[in-house]
Amino acid sequence: MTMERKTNERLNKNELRRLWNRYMWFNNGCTNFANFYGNGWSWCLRPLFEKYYEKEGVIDGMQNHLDWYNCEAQTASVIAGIVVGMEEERAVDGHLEPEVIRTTKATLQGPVAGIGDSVVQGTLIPLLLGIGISMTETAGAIGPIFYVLSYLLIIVVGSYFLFHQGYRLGRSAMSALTGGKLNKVIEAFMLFGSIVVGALGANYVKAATAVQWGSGESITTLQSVIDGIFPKLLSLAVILVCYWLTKKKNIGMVKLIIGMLLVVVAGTYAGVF
Amino acid sequence: MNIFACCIISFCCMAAHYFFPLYGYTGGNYILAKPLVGGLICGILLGDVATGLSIGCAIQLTYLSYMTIGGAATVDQGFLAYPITAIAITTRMDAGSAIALGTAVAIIAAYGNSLLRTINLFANNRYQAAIAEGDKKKQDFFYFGLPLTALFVVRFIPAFLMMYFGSDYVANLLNVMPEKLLAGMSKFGNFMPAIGIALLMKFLIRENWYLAFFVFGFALYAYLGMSVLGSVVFALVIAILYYQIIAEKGVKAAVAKTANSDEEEVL
Repeated sequence: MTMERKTNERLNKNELRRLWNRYMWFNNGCTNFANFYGNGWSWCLRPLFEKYYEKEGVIDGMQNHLDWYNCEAQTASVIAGIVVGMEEERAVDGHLEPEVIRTTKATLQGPVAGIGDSVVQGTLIPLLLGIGISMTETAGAIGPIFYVLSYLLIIVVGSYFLFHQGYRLGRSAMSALTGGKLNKVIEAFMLFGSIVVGALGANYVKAATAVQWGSGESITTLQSVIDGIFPKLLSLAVILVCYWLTKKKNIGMVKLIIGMLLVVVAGTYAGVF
Repeated sequence: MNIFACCIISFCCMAAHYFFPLYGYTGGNYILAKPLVGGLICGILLGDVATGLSIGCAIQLTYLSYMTIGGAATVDQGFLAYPITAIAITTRMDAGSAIALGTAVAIIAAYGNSLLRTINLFANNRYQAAIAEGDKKKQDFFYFGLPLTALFVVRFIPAFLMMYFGSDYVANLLNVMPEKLLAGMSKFGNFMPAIGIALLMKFLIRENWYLAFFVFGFALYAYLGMSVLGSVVFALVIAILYYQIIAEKGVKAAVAKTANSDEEEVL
């Protein structure tokens, strides 16, 4: 269906930046069971449609963007850039079919969500939090503030970069995200994370036993014996047991919390802890 | 509890959610909802920053690896960060008890997500109708106006009620609990970071040999007393070295391949 175009100019820098901002700020409205985050596309792209089309074209454009969609919104800035580029192409050139844009969105959300969830939620956030927590001990409120600022900085810069990559390169922007080089970087990042998480475990798991024997002058505590062998061995053991429980037996967080609570309370009554 | 503080904290609880537009859900779900941040904010508003920070850190460690794949949450982190942390500060609860009592609340609160997504089915209907009419004001109302109102009802109101009326109730509850139970819950606070650490390990430890590096990080503190920040430096160096090794392997394999294919062509 061809619509009249109001203008044939491409999006200028300001309009592009405003679209990026609109996406990052407002992509999560009217989230529902029917199309999850799909409505975000129609609302966030509205200014683009208003630039190029009259009222009918705006309606038509928005109605092309109501499909089911669920992704990790920050890394999906790359998809936003690609979609903006495609919609601009469709408006200026007139040849691109809306179905192509819809299919692109549908096929890209899976891989991007995979990378986004594992890098952002799984690695970046916990490590920044861990560093923030360790700062809180020595520098007080600077800890949470560090987390907020560093995380925001990374996300704003990263999303700006991804959005513009998507806009300039179109679908080939995805090859940077799924290429072998990024996989190697992620692997090294995971190794980095493994060491830091070990440090976090040692710093903050304070498992101790209260078992002791002897009396009067010569009380020996089990804890001091253990400390002589390997300091914080009990903490390490607790962590490794939890790790085994969740890895091999697939026990989730809530069950672990309840289970550990019962064990520790029972142990306190028994005088073990 | 001061009603002004209650209002602000309840607002934070509402904003600490996927559906609140604070830089998309970056500001809400990834920043405000984190107990570390919640601890600071509650601490400031209730006049006890030190307790707020310590409770925030302890709860955060247990929920360190918390993530929602595809927006499906079993536990609502925002409720832990706000009403629960606030109640813990005012009733002088320790972190272990806060998680012990708070996890139940957070599980119930997670069902709020389903409720909101269902209410928004109606908003979705009206939103799409407004698009077909080309009515911008209606679109805005059904895109944000209505969903945010629902968010207010499902999150702000319960959080406010919990804090305003619940603190005294919780304080009384703590008074009647036996000593050893309280001591046990407090000790639990020392053990519980292991849960967050273990769950994070499940995610990060890609190959079994990464475990050796985990123990290395652990030993940095156990034997050298190194802080986490110090370990970050060590970890960074080792990771860079590792990257160089595996990147090198990739290059060598590619070079070998082209060398072999050259030979075949000559033959």
